[in-house]
Amino acid sequence: MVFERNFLLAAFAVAVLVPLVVQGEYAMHIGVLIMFSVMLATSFNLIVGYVGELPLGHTAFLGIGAYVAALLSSTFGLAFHWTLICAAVIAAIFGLFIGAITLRLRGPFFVIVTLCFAEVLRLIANNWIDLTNGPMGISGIPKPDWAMSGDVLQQKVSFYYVGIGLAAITLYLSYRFVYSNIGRAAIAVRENRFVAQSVGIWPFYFGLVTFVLAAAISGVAGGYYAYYVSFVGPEVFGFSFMISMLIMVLAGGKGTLVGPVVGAVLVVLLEEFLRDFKDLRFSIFGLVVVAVVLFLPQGLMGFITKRHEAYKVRQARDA
Amino acid sequence: MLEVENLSKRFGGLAAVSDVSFGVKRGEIVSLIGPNGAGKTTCLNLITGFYKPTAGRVTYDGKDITGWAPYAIAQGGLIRTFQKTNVLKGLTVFGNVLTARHRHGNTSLLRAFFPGGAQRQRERELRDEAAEIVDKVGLRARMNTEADSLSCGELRLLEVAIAISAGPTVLMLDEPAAGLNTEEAQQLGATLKTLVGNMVDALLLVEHNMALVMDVSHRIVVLNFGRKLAEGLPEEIRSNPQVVEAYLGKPAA
Amino acid sequence: MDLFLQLLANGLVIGTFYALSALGLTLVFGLMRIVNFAHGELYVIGGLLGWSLTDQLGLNFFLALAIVVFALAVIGYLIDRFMMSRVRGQGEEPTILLTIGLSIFITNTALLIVGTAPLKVVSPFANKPLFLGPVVLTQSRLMLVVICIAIILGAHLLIQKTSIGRAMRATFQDAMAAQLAGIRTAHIYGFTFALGAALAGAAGMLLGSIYVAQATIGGLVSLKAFVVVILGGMGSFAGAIAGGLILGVAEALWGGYVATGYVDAIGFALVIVMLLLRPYGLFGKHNERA
Repeated sequence: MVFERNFLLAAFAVAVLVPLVVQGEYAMHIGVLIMFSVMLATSFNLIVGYVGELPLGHTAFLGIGAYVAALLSSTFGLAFHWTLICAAVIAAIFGLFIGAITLRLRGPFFVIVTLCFAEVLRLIANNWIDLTNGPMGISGIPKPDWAMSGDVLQQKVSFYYVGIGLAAITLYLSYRFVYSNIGRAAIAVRENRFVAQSVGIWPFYFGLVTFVLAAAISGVAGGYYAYYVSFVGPEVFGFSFMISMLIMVLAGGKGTLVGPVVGAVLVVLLEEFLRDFKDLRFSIFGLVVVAVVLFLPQGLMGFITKRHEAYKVRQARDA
Repeated sequence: MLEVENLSKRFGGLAAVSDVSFGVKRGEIVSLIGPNGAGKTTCLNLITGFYKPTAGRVTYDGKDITGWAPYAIAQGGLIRTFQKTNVLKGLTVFGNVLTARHRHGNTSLLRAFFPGGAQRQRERELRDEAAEIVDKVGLRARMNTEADSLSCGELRLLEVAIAISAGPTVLMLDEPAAGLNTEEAQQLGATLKTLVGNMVDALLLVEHNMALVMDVSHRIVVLNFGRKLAEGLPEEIRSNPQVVEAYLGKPAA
Repeated sequence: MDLFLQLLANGLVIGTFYALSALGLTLVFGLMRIVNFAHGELYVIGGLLGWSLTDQLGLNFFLALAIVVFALAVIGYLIDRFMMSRVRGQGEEPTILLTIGLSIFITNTALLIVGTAPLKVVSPFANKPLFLGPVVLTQSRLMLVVICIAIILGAHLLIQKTSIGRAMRATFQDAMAAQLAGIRTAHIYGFTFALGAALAGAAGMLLGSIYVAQATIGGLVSLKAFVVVILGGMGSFAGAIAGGLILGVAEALWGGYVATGYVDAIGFALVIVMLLLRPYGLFGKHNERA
């Protein structure tokens, strides 16, 4: 708990200070991708790590957020913060609906049905041309006000700092959630449904609350991404985002808050490092997943952090 | 305060429990005994909502709770343990007990995100209460040990701690003495007696250890083949020929 | 009416193909409780291998099919030996993750080798149309349906009637008891996974001869196979056949009468409705595990 808080605060400080040391458009571009990935991985981890089910269709919420932001900003000219709030709310509503259906299922059934929902949404994005412009996608998403001024570098720096802000909010909410009475209930369900029920915890409800929170965060991440690349197509529902999320969370360590952050940084850097070998990159990712499951089931941070709280017996009281 | 009326449960063609009635009054320790397969654990599962009864009624404090979901029954203060030891394996002893205090803590999402002073205070209290319970069952030294690495006896204690932590009105223990030696069982008996009227209003015990049952029970209900065979004070049960027969078989004529 | 019969016939033909594509998946799940997310990728390997043997090397179709079946069996056995056996008894999650990792690896490696181009397995059957009353079918499809049925029957007999099939069923009912009875259970697990992979590979090659073999279709194949298996009930042969036919006919009718755009969504919609109404599928057995 304390370790995670300190680690996250330190990471925040480093992230804020980085532009003072490292400069250049490319570095800022990487920074933006990292912030986006941190949000995505944190959201995915809420379900994988704290509900204990694997939502292989989690890109559904990313895609919904991206499309909502794209449509509202390009059609209605809504401002950045409003579209992002709408993206969160609409993704959360979808999360409520999809979660209410899928959380009655366990294990492989949960995996497959969440995947089905993402596929259905992808097909809709592909075929409902009046709304989504089909496979062509929506391009020319207007830049937010704060990214209008200055040269390209300054705009990227603005995006980077907004990204830090969003990622920080994401992690703050997740931190509060995980270490609250509600988060503990979700963990209890993950560890043992029977015990959880026997002490008065309603498994479905806490699964759903977590699911909706994760969906909303994904929606925000999707909206942020849509603004940054100023284009949204059906592939936001696709599998490549899913693969990245999966690796970030597994390699970093599911069920910890720090793990996905570390995973996100590593995966983004690795992706850039392997940029010239685009397909080989994903081959390697496949092997990484296998290797992590076989040799490092708790992920990198699983070894280092303890997600559970310790109770320190107060010396003063005993003395 | 807990009344079971004509409770029945069939699994396919098999009648696991048929037409069982008994009650638990405030301040009482009632034991449910019977040979293996007599339907004791099934009874417990029916009372706590883990199984839905085929027929019959369970009332608690005058409310009909038949067929409620397990979590809802537990929220009413009917807390049970499991025959096969069930704890939250990946958490520490303290984490287990703290988690089990769930229904005494905040369940508002907004307050979880933006805890005010009162909320933080409540959280501190929860932690202190949990630590106190760990202390009370004698696991203080193991406070921050993962549940995975506890011994069998310690796991039993932790299970009781979890149940107590949930704040039961009626506590139901499923074979708490299984795997304990005589001395440990005696210790458990002593603890159980102090529990009633102190931390819980009544206790329902499913148990095989006769010494323990005779020692602590105010009343005993005997099941055999899913039916109620007898009910009475410990002395009555001890000398009841039907009960002796159920346990030892018919004496040779 | 004629249109309806034609669509129905098309649906039944495609449904048979779906049933074969899903057979390996349902077998591995039913016996081993492993949900193989790399199933579609094994199908892809079968198709691509079939293409290289028949088209590139000019081998006879049936000889190539035998090689494909054997090669996939070996791959399946190795996957079980070196990956699945290490997480045996740890529940579903690691096997799901392992097979997802494997599917990512296979798809992208296949992309590196053959690219995205659709490739065709050389078919020994003519594409001649056959007129059966008002219904038109091509000869190659009809022959393929026959082969599919033969393979499904063969697999069924293998599991129900042979000694290795009995050993398989014994192992999955009670591994400990089977081991005590002298069955080499590690071998049996490997063999079962090999059989599942071989069935996937055979399906990939056979269907590659009338559709195409392509590196990127694995995900869709897996999803459709899941749909089939869930519709029929996980782990049941009869269920896979029923699920395949239901999906095939539903898609054909929807495509013929309503719209072609959302054909792929039909299966997913069916699955979502099905799992809400009957969580264990039409033919699945209800397994309560506490």
